[in-house]
Amino acid sequence: MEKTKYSFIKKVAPYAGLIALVIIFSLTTDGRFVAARNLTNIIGQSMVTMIAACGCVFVMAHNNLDFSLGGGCALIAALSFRATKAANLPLMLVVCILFGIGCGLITALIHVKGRIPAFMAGMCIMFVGRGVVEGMATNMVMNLPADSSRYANNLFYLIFLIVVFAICVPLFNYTKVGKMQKLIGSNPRAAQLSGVAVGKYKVIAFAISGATLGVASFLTMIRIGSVTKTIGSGLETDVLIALTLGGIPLTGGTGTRIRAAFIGSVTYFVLGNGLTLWGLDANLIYIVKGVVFLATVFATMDRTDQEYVL
Amino acid sequence: MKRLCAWMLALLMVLPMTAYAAEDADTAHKIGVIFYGKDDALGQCVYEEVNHAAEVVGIEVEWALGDYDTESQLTSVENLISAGCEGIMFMPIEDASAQKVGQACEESGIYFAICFRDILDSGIKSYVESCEYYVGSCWEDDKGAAGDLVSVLAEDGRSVFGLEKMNPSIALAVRNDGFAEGAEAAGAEIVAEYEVPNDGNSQTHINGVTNFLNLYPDMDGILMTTSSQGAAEAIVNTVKQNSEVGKVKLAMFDLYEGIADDFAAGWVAAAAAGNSPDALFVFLALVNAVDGTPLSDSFINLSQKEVIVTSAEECADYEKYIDNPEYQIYSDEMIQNLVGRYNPDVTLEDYTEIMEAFSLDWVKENSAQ
Repeated sequence: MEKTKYSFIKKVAPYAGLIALVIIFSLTTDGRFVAARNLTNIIGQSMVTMIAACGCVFVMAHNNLDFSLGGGCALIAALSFRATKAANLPLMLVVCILFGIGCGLITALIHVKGRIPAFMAGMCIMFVGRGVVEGMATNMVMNLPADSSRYANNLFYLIFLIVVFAICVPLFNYTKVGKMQKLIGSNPRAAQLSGVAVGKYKVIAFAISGATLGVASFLTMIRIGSVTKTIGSGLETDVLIALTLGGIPLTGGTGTRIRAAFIGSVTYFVLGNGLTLWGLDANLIYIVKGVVFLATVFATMDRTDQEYVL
Repeated sequence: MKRLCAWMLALLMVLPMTAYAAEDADTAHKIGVIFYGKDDALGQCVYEEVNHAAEVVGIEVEWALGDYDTESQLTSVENLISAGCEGIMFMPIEDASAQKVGQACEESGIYFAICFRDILDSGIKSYVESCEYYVGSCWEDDKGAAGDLVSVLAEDGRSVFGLEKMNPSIALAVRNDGFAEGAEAAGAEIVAEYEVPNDGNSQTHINGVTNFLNLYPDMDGILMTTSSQGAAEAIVNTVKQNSEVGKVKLAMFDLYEGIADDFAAGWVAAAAAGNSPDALFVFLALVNAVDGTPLSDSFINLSQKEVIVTSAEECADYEKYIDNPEYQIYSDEMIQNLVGRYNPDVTLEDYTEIMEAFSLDWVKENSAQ
């Protein structure tokens, strides 16, 4: 009975949180929150995170973290710009996805073959990415062609979002690729003893995460109009917070839902937007975000299988 | 459960109707400010100056602090516009920020102005300057200040310098040019240089200065384009450990904790700082634009003079009058006189005149409190 109640709370908490935020901000911002322009802003701001988070769900499902996202985004952007000179945007998109898959594979191989924790492998990519983009941005201006700014609109992002979700949702929910991630996340040893090629499925998860990161990197370039030293900064934390707010279990496993990427990203940006509309002191905004994050982890984290020695 | 869902849906449907209340809820103009933070001395001074000025001229200010990349600054400007800001002042973190923030403002018909930065990229600069809602910008006269720092060393009889050089790709690189031109004008020579590390690694400074001292025994001055992020402490300590007092003197941008003692002991010859009023003048120019009394039909470019500190006594004055968030450099009357609604005769020349007069002596003589 207790467990059923707990899992019900875990299930509804992300939705309830988002609805509560929407209601609170709608009633306390003189209607500014629900103004069409503001809602459009929130959607536009959250879509890149949503896309990156969507692929990251595969990695989190098998109980890993992808810390390469921010640096990887920078690396993909810089290398794809270098390779294509931004002359042809469709080609650039393809190159971004390929480089993204490459980043994912490198992280996975370091993790799987080198038996190094995935977050450390991801951090390697993060540092390499930052180093490469800083070096390149120092020596060359990497602006996208002026006409690329016409794509910097929500409709353009939305098309990518729909395509990414249309591929990832069935892949995660209805194919072996997704199901195995959850199985590995629930009990990797049992999965391995059952004959599951754990390493192979982890590599596939990182490759998918890399592919969506490639798309996110491409859209970030379109949004800011260039490849800058700071491109992708903080993407890994944004995605992690968004997925947590979306109710993803930090330990992966069967409770992992891909909708967490959607719900969590919207919640995260609604929170930031609403607090700004309140005119809250910037330092307080960080504190409130931290408290909300902690409260979400507290409410949704499954502690039943965790051992704590206190 | 069904009843609860119905109530929630009904409530959500009613919410958009409250949007109409927003139009006439506020009467005071609101200006959004996007700034890197208020945790260091400059940030605190800017925060207090702008808030004070806003109170004096009856403007509401909304801050977005802590954005260190273009994406975050773009998100902030979108949120501030949604929050009802009619003008945006920001310090672009890089050239791309100037373009994207400017574009967001232009598309929304919101005035915007840039503080503390010039735009290096010519394409972005011409785009921003072509925007109808671009009020203008202000940046420090870094080149002039660098020349002044070299002059102080030259007047002390020094002529062989090492240079702690700024990364050429960023706006502050004009300090390199200022030092080079200043040295040429003073008949001095920059014999060696190393670049400020992007990550602020102290070891780079230590290695650079150790090389200066070992390879150029006749070097008698070090020019520093920055002393922040621990650069000053690393450089000063390296000089102290490897040289004698007065043999090699330092001239730098920005002040650091303990600089007064190093002035008194003879390690430091001069420091340039005191640029916080930059944001105040940009803010007031923006207020004029939002009020419908712009200072110019086109965009404006202001130049903020820096203060050259040359002794421990001046350090104390600097800390009391300029580097003090609780002290207002300009009186309420002066601030109001720079805004059209209080002084219809205000012109751009008034701004230039006041900014030209800025010096440590002027601040002391005109102390507002």
